[in-house]
Amino acid sequence: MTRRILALVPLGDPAVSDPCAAIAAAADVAARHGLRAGAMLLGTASDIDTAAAQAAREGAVEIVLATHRASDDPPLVEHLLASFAHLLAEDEDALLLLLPGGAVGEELAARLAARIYAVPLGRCNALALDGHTVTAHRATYGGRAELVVETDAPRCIAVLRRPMETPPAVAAPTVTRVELDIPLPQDVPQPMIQPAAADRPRRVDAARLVVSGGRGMGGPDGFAQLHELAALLDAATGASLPAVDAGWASVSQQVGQSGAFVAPDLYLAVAMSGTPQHLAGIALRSRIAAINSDPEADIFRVAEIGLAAPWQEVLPRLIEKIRDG
Amino acid sequence: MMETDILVVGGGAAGFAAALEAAERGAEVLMLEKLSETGGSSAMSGGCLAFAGTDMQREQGIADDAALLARDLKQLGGGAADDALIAVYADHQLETYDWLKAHGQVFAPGLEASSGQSVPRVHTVDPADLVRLLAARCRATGKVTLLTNTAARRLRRDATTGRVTGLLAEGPDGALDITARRGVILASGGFSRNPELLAQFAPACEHAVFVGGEGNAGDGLRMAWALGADLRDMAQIKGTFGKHPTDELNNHSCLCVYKGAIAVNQDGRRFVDESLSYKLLGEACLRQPYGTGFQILDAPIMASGDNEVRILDFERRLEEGLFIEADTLEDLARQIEVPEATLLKTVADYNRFVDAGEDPEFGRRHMVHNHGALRRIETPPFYAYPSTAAVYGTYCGLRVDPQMHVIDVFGERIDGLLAAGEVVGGFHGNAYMTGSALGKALIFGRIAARTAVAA
Amino acid sequence: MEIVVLLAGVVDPKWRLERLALRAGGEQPDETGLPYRLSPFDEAALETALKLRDADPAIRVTAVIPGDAARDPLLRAVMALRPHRVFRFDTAGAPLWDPHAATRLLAAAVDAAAAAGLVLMGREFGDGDDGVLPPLLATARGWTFCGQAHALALADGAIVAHRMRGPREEAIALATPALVSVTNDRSNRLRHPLMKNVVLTRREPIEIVTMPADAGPIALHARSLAVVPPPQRGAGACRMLEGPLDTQIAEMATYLRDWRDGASR
Repeated sequence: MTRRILALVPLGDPAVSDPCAAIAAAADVAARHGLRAGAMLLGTASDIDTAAAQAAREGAVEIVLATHRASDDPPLVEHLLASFAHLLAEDEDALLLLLPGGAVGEELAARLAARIYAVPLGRCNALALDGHTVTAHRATYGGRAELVVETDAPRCIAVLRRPMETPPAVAAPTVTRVELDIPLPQDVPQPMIQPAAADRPRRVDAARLVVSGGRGMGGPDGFAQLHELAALLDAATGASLPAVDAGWASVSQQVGQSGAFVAPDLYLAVAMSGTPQHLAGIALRSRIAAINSDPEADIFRVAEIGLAAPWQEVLPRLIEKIRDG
Repeated sequence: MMETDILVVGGGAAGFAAALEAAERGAEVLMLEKLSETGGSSAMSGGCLAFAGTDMQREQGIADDAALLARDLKQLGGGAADDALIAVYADHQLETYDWLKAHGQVFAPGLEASSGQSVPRVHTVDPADLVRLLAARCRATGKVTLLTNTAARRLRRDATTGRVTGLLAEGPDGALDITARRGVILASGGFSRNPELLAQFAPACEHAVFVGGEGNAGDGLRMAWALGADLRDMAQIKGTFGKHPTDELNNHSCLCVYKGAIAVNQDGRRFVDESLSYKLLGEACLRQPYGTGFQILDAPIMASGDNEVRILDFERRLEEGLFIEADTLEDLARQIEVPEATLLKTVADYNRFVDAGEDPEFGRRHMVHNHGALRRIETPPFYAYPSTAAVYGTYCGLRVDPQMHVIDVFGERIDGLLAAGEVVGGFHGNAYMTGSALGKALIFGRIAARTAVAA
Repeated sequence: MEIVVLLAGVVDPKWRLERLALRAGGEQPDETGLPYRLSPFDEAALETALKLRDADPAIRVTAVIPGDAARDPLLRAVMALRPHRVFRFDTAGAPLWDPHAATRLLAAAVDAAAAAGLVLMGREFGDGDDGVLPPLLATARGWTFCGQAHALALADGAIVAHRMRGPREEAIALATPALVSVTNDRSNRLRHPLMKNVVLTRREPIEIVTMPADAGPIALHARSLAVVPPPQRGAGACRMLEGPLDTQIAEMATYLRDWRDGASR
């Protein structure tokens, strides 16, 4: 019995910043085991075709395009759940299901595991197949330790990030279209979506440049300067857990093991010590620049360029320099 | 077998001040730090330095000088403090202030009056930066070698002369035998992390919180004690009032009382003249139920804090959620589980005393020491800061002479052995002036170095 | 209404993990000698429960900590905050790696507490979970689920959860029974206990509830657990800027501008 590797891709929710990352991850795992990756996309008539083309580019060989007439915008997790559960209900193959990272993908993975009785493997760093056995490597203890788990369960479900190397595109995938008309649960509480505030910080997990502040910022004033610098650099503003705890930045800006995972080209860390828990939220390929008053700070051990001075003396002049050309 | 001119035990403010002074006078220095990081209790301190007659004071129109400082220290010490050591501090503090500035130390712009001070003379620095600065200046001399993870174990004496010639230490690669040609300076801190010594010398502080560098286990004290060193002020160990009893992030006291707050116990009653030295407040607090009280204040007192001075940075602690806030005193009483009627009466009585200019209960006349007029507590929101006493330092220990030679129980010098910083006893006496412990670390450290270099 | 807060505790994040392994011949992590504390998410869940209780005296809060006696100091710390009831759900050291098995155990713990209208958990439950357990438990029990809320409010007797989801802020009126996972936020930082209650709590007995003997089948097995060094990056060769501060700042400005303009390498 060969296990099928299948990416589940919920479309249409801007909260899922990179839904097709699951396909690239599936293709990567499949390639390493001589297998073919499948992708099951769930969307609407308006977004499904664009996504299908991307799925092929990300390395999916077998593509299922499912649409539902009655989906909300953005789709409710309960509705995504019902549709995916329905699509997988009749599937008798052994499956390794992969979902994209982030709050929605992770919630969907866990709840689907309960619905279709799959073993949830959580957020994995690496996955390997050997016969019936799936082996998963996971970060535990705040990223300080690695746990290796194994299961022979016929259905497993995991969240896996985009691999370092993009797998080769597939020229002629097989595409199956499914029009769902199952009844969707109606007793689901509908969230009231509040209009985004005008000064809402930019999303940190999709930015090319991130300017981030830590506990050493000492208060909200420093963050105001970080926002100013970020605006000049067309960057998003991030923060460490202590800074969020202190209320200087919002929860959505939190980067780290327990916050957002970011993969910018450049990550500017200001007044931040560089704990493993925080660094675990920054992709390995991201370069780090650091400003810290303590020349011995750990952050300089992982940065490629460093400026050892108090941020109070650096930021105002840095802002001025960048603004004036 | 290693050899050096001067061996310094402990990598805090006293140790680095001694090492830098010695190196600048041409000596070769070896410094031992038991932990992997330097800084010790100094880096955790409030960063307050008591200096008198500085340019900063002059610019702010504060009349202060060495004589007034010495008088305050004597008054606080209550006769128990050694006049000779007070004189050493007073005579050398201003040059140490200038020395710090010359080395690039930046002081916060504000000056504050705090425990035991007749005028504002708290000069504030970032304490961790201070130690880092001194360490960097030591490195720059090229004459100071620092060994971390290396603990001093026993002093070594010449069998015939009795002179201390070096010590035995233990590092990551095993035992070390180190010879110091000109002397050993103990700058190893106090013993607030040594439960046995605390139980022996400070039984009254059983319920206090103990803060201090984790290496502060009395290593230097015990090594010198083994050689017959005399001890001073051991009966004076006291907790400092104003430590939040359950907060582990802030290692500093918060003294709203010095800006006009009152201190009440769990029964809602005042228990002390709040203008006294915070060590005496700490002593009184530990006698209250649960060893804890609350500082009670109102909005104007909250706003009068000073965020540049750690013990007065009320608003930062408010942001950190350490204050309990309420729109009425009744609600405040409910939140801190104090009888409402008692707290209301306590505050009303106190406000009456303020108006009348006389506090018949405890005789409070000023905000702090001889400084500041009292104010009513009446404008909401009201705040409570849970407060107990913390032993930040043991402030007692080896008897030294004005050159920082360690003196034995017969009043004789132990040749080749010097001490500076928290391991020294006899300077503070009964109570304690804000900024005199970190000040003493630097001033006495430099003097010990000069004595050793001249040996 | 009955609120049950499930609290996991984590090995003190400030503690330097030197060694960590599974116990010989088993799947239990050997955490001997490591201090536990509540995670920021545990604290957020607990504070959220206490705030609801403060807002409505009819609300009863029960806090449950699964685990063995090593978690008792944690239990006392929670007791000092005076929820109505606190107990340890003795897991006899059963490992919680398999989420389905862990969920059955947590469900039994909730049942032992009360007929809960609302169950609160941190968004991650302990050192081994990365957010699977709260949604899995809710779905397995058929409860309404709301993930990563940062605040709960009472409005006309209903509980409204507030959360950030990507770019949007959502407010959701919850149908009960519901399970909400809570994320840390300034507004739900855990309060400090009064010293009086800390002292009184020291003398109180700890309530322990024993878990059912049969934990059910285990499908996921732990094979190894090891401390990992932080991943290498930056090749360990940080270029520290030197010279006068203004020169350093100018150099940093050029560096940042180049990255913004996509020209850097």
